[in-house]
Amino acid sequence: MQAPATAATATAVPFDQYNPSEEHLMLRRTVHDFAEREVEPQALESDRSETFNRALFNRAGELGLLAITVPEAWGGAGLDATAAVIMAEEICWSDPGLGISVLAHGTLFVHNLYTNGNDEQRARFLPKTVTGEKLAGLCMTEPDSGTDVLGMKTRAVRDGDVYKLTGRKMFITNGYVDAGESGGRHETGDCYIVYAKTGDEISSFVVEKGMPGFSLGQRLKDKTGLRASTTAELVFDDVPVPLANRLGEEGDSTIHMMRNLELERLVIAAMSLGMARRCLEIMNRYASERKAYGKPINSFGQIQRHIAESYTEYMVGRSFVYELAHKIQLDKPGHRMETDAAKLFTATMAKNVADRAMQVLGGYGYFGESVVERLWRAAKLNEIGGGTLEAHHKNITRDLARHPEAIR
Amino acid sequence: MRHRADFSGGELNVIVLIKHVIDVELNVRVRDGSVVQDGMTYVLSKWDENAIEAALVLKDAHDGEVTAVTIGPERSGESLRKALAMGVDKGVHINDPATEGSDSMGYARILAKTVTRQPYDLILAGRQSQDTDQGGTGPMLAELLNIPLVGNVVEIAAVDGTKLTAHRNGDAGKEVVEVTLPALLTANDSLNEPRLASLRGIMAAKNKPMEILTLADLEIDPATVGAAGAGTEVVEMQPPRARAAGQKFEGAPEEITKEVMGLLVNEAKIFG
Ligand SMILES: Cc1cc2nc3c(=O)[nH]c(=O)nc-3n(C[C@H](O)[C@H](O)[C@H](O)COP(=O)(O)OP(=O)(O)OC[C@H]3O[C@@H](n4cnc5c(N)ncnc54)[C@H](O)[C@@H]3O)c2cc1C
Repeated sequence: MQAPATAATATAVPFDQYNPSEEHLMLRRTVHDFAEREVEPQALESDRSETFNRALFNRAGELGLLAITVPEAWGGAGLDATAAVIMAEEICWSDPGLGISVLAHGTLFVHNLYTNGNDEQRARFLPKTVTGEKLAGLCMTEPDSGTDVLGMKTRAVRDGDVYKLTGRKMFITNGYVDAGESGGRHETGDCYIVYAKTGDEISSFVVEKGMPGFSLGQRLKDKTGLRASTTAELVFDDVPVPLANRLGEEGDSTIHMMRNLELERLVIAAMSLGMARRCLEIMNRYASERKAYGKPINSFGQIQRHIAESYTEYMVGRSFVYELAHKIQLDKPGHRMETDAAKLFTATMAKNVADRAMQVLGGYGYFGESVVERLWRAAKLNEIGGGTLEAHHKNITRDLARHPEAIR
Repeated sequence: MRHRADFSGGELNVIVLIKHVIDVELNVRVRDGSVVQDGMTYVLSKWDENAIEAALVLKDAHDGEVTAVTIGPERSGESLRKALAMGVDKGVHINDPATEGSDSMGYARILAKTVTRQPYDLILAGRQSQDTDQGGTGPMLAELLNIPLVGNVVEIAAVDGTKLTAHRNGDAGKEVVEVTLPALLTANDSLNEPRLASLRGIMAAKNKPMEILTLADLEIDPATVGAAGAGTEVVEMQPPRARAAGQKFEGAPEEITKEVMGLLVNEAKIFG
């Protein structure tokens, strides 16, 4: 048999699902350069001092990272779910504190407002939030209801051209900022999407800083990790919210909420990937350099198990998340179960990888400078925020019972 | 032959020479006398990023157009698009298999034909490319174009009418050099801090003009460039030497300092 002629054919670039196009690759490199040059140098200190680095956040805005999924016509980059995943992974490779702040602002507010708002609302809120000039967030959780989100008590009652909104929201990322140069005084961020009950149904409203009755409750200090982001309780006391600030029709927001949660979970899964990758890099390097009994510690079976299992679990999570990102169309829901599953798996994966990294680094791993210590504290959040592990168990099992054909 | 545009309008047209190189931060391996390309990633050579940044700063100050030029296979387009994403206006890609194996002189010949297709005031290049570290292309091109060269530039102090003042690192410290435009400058990495491409820039890059040329388009005889036209030949290639493990010193600071100084002076002969 004759060998096929090997005429000079252009070498086909192999498909890379992690960087499906050149724009994706360029995005990854840009965000990685940003992380290395500008984010990493402040990460440890901002975490230690519980400081939200506003200048850095605005720099992310300048680079376009706060509106990655919003069309270019509205000041965004018009990119897809994969791009959102790449960005979150690369930022959280360095600083998940900045990462969650970007998530709350860019995905939970900016993307949400673009998707569920009308053109007038887009024109009013996007220009200044896309750049980071205004700080935004999303209010879903309440002091007495988290997982049981439909049990929320915050109410909005129509009163002519306004809704009177009353209730409290808890654990709100980007919930406060330092006011004034010298510090010591704090105020809310600039705008939030707030979910509230209108009758039995849920509606969403944009509440803006300075509206009468809207105030900062407790600043929730002393978080385990992600300490470079702020978390607060926000209080709404008969806040008159103009009709023009209601997103969509009254009572229509359960679907907004569910649709946005899909992207949120996907991005949180990507945050876990970033943390896991960093921990893996660090433990791998350390284990080849550190010697004990005259040999590099990666020659010991127990260390090999830490590294090999971490790599394997990381790759499983990575493949899952990127495959899912590829399938998600931003304007259509329909991947609830898979986004639940991706976040369920990657949250614990990253926590375990960080834990093994700390173990491999021994005493050094227990200190801030090792980086893994900071990521070890950060990784735990993803087993709670954006849905607890148990919430994912519940959702997945319910959906599977309804749609057994999904197991294929 | 001078190709300077009329500078009276104050516009400065800059050409930046860039190269897409193997990422030397990865583990570069050599097999059968050549670098293993499989599974490697390629990046924009780092000094070229400084050259791009300098061009963009000049553009902000003087207007005009910045054109990036590269020679290389299909994949080199990636670095051109990065340059476009950073803010360069236009890309020119010489993509022709016959350019493969060019030495610095070959590249300079191709570039000479390329850059003279349009008026320019200034050519910027990295002081060397990150893969070969040869540093020959820029100076050879300046020679072929018969324009002044300032190598290893650390600061572009002023552009005034038809003159440009640059600071360079020379043998005896910093030199301040004045040249008449058009001129060619090669960039040191302390020239500036290259900007990051913004997402907007990345998206905009897709719609910027990119010209793809072959040697035929440039009326270059393939025999004068590429491996065929090279005056130099790499006869042997060895993998980069692994860095030897560092040495640790323990003890009282004064003792260690003496010991280390002794080794630096007598063994490493760094003050030779
Ligand atoms: C750092 C941080 C940032 C956050 N940012 C935001 C934000 O920006 N916006 C926002 O709205 N929220 C935010 N949250 C809130 C977060 O989403 C909630 O904490 C989370 O949804 C869990 O709700 P919960 O804390 O009320 O716990 P609960 O729902 O009260 O859960 C307590 C425990 O009971 C379990 N449980 C509850 N229901 C069930 C059930 N049916 N079956 C089995 N087990 C169950 C839970 O899994 C958990 O183990 C943030 C939280 C943190 C910690």
